[in-house]
Amino acid sequence: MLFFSFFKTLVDQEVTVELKNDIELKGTLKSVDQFLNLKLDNISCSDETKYPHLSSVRNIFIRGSTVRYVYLNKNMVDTNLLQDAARREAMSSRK
Amino acid sequence: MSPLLKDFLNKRIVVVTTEGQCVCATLEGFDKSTNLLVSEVRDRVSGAHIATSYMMRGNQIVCCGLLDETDGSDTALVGPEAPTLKDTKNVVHDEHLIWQRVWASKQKAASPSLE
Amino acid sequence: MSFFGFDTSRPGHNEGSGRDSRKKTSSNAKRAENPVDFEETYRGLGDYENEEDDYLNDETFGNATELGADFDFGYGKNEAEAGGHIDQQTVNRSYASAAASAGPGVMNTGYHAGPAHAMDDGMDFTPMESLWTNQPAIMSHQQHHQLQQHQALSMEELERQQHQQMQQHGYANMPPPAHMGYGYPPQAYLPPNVNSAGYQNIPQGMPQGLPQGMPQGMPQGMPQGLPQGMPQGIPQGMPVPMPMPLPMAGPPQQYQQSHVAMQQQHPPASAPQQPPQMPEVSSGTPQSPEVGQQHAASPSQLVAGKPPAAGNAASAQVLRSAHPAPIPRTQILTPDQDLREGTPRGSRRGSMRKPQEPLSQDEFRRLQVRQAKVDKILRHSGVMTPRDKDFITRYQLSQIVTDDPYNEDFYFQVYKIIQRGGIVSESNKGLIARAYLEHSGHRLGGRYKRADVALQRMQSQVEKAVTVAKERPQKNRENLDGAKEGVLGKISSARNSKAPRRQLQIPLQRDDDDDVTSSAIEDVVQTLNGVELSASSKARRRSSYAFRSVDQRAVLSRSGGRKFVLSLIEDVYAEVLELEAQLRSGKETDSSHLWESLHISDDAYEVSPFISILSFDKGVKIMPRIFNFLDKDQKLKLLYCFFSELSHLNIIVTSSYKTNSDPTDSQLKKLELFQSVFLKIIVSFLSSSAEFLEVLGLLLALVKNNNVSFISTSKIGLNLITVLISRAALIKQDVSRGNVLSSVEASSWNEIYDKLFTALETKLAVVFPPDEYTAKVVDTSSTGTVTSATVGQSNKHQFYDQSYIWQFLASLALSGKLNHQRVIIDEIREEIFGTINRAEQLMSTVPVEEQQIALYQRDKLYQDLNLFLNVMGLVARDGEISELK
Repeated sequence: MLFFSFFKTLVDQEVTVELKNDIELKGTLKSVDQFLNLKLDNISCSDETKYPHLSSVRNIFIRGSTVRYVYLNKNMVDTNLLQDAARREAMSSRK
Repeated sequence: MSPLLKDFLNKRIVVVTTEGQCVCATLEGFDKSTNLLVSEVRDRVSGAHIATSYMMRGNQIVCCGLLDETDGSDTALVGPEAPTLKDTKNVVHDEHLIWQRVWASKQKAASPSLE
Repeated sequence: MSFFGFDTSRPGHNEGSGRDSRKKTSSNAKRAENPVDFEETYRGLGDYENEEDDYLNDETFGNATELGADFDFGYGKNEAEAGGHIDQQTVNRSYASAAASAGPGVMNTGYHAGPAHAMDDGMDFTPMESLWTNQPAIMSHQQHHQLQQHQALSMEELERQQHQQMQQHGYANMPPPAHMGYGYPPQAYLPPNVNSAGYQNIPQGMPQGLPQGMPQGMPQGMPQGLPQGMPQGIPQGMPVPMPMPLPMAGPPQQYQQSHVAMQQQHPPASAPQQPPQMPEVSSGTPQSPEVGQQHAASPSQLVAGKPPAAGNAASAQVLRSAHPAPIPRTQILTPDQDLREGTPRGSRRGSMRKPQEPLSQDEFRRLQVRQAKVDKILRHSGVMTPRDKDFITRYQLSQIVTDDPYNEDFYFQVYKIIQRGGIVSESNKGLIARAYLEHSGHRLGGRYKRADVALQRMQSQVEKAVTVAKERPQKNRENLDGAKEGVLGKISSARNSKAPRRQLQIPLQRDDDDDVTSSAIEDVVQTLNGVELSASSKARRRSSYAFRSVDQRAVLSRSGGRKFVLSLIEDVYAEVLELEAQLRSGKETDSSHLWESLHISDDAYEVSPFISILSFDKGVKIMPRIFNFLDKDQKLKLLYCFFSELSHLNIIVTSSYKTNSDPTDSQLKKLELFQSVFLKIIVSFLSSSAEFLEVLGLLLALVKNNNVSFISTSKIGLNLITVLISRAALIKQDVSRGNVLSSVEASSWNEIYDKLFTALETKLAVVFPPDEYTAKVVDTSSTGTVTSATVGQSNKHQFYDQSYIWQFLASLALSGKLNHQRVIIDEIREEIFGTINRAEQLMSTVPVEEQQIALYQRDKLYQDLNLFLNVMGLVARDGEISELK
């Protein structure tokens, strides 16, 4: 649940998602589910000319399993809190 | 749970698959593992009709984008020179050759010591 | 939530039962609220019919397999017609049984074919109710008709017929078996052979049927939504299946309808004529509304109108004779009447009349579009039962909603709370962590404490002490006599609070020092319950003098190694999280495990693991939360350990210009972090709960166990010393106003101060880092925290903030005696004048447009310098040092 929880805090923030097929999509994260499927709005393809397939697409659903990276702005994350949350989860799973 | 796709229901979408295929279709239904039921499937680039109704396994799906209905770009992309998309497997071609080399070099490294 | 495209938010689904929704639909038909539901209801029944042919036939007809025998009654060679008659008869004979048989059948379909609503409808099927008030019963009739036809028609014919029928009724969405589409021309309602077979009796009114029928069948159904389209299309379009037209019940509905229509239009037995264009025959259904209307208007008339149709009458007779128990016409009629007068129908009646006029092209197109939309919606409906949907919805919800959001959705929950607090920007990163702490503290039962006040208090501490001293600089000298009293241990009055400073003799008594010192220190040590200078700590002390390496690993290796320390930190975190959880749930907290995990009194290593814990950022960050759970005694021990082994502290080593002349950015950040976190804790602890002797004890630990002059070359070290001595000075001043500073306390203080001063003497100038070092720090530091006055655009306007050094010197001088002060001034004379020169040069070297910045910097330099000079009653301004007035 940690990363689901984490991604929920990124909703309405601008992120860049790199897919496993090398496409990079930049857009506003609109929602996320527990599979870490993402939904972006207002997307722009970082390499529009190379991949025009998504040219007239603004709103996209991305299957979590095909995400390679999600790039975020540094200040979108509270690392201390994230560490804490990770420790909590580790502790609860240990028990 | 996957209400994320709900907004796309009965709309034209672009689906990119793990194989690097890219199609346009109308989303008829979906489930929590992103299995998609689509209709009027057409190739995104050529516009060729592929199927009237199609079920796509969730694990084939990379992403589905909602087509902007206003610009009517549903059918084909202009210009057939649109490059093919990569798949998500990122398989190294002829990987076995590499490992053959590695194996050979190891053998080579090992053999002098034997001699 | 949707699944397979279902919109469960639709009312019918929400009810969780198709039955409910159907009822609702029928009762609210006028409002057309649930178009889809009704459609589904119907479709379920359609399924039933398609799939259960044989079964139903048996059910319906029982033994009546010799339907063919009834074919020709002289009014048409239409077999289907004949079959229909019989069937109608059969149905009419016993509605109860028909309904009952339909019930199970429908239910089966519901399960097999999937349409949930069909199933529910079936379950709801009590004969009478459905007969009088609900369409399903009627539809079952329709099915029966079709079944009859089925006997007479080929499969293909039947299928086509159904398609068309559905089309016209707007049922085109019938599930798969019927692969219907709009491609079928609407005209041929009846299969060709039926048509040709002899619709001679089809009224002349037929041709007009289409125009009329369309507006009624479609427009009404469509504009108002499907559900309504159904009720209208069916009940009214199929008056025949209704009980009353018993005699002529048999024929396929369209026939009957047209027939009836004919009858009504040409009341007395107008000979049925084959309309010139067959296509129009299809209008049977469309036209039916009209019939229904007329029915509604005058049911009795309809009945009355029947006999004239000779063929019908004949067939009726035959049929009646064939079926022993025909239901009396009147009996059935009455309820039918009721039905029509029931709300749904009555209201419908009104709406039906309107669209009598032919449908315009436009309307028609709109209709089709609508229909197509509905079709789309319905295409996959009925795949799951409401129960399935319900289950999945609940399952899905359970995945999102957690019972314990605080734990399972911890990050999100806390993050949002922090965000709501308005702390967003990156520069406030430190605050975020604190916000969390405060938040959790708050949650933990109002333990909300404003920690940032502590830092301000620390920074103002020195200034405050200086100010106090400034106010009474003269007294010191005047009260020289009092010094003796001090020596004699009589320093007790408020007025004599400055006594230590006046004890000029003390340095002369150096010989006695050791005795006094030891006794005084004993006192101090004793106040630090159980904190004794053990043999091992002495061993550590020795090593600390030798230690000069920036290499972190060196320290770590002496306290168990990097891995070990990191695992310790995790243990500490685990303990803290555990304690916080306990606190949150209202349990008693026991910090003993936490205390053990800190390894503070662990002598197994050369350097206390606790000190190494502080080498890591995360170790530093956890400290405030550790302090939440430690009692005062534990805190004291912790700090004692800390000050004793200060030289081993990684941050001291990296912040000392001697050991690390080229600090990196990350090192500076570490320094900043340490200062903002741990230094703050120390200050807040010292200023809130530490006693005078305890402060002295910590200072003693620092002085005795460390190379003070080395520590003073680091910013952190210098700050720590400053904190201790300025705190001591402040307590003294506080005490002077209220309580009495005991002679033991006073002499301890003197001893310890002297020790400190001795350690620093002759090396005071080294607290000023060399220019190269400060230049590097300024260069490296991009955050502006180490430097000040960063208003300027270029580095030229940034400079190393030396205020911490002047603060240190000020507090040192403040607590010292005159001769101490003289020593200090002697040693740092050059720095004083250097600072003054720099301040003056600033103004002359800077271009005009940057005067503002230069002015600010100059003021800052003077301000810092004066903090120190003021202690001695001096002030520097405009390049001159003068007496403070």
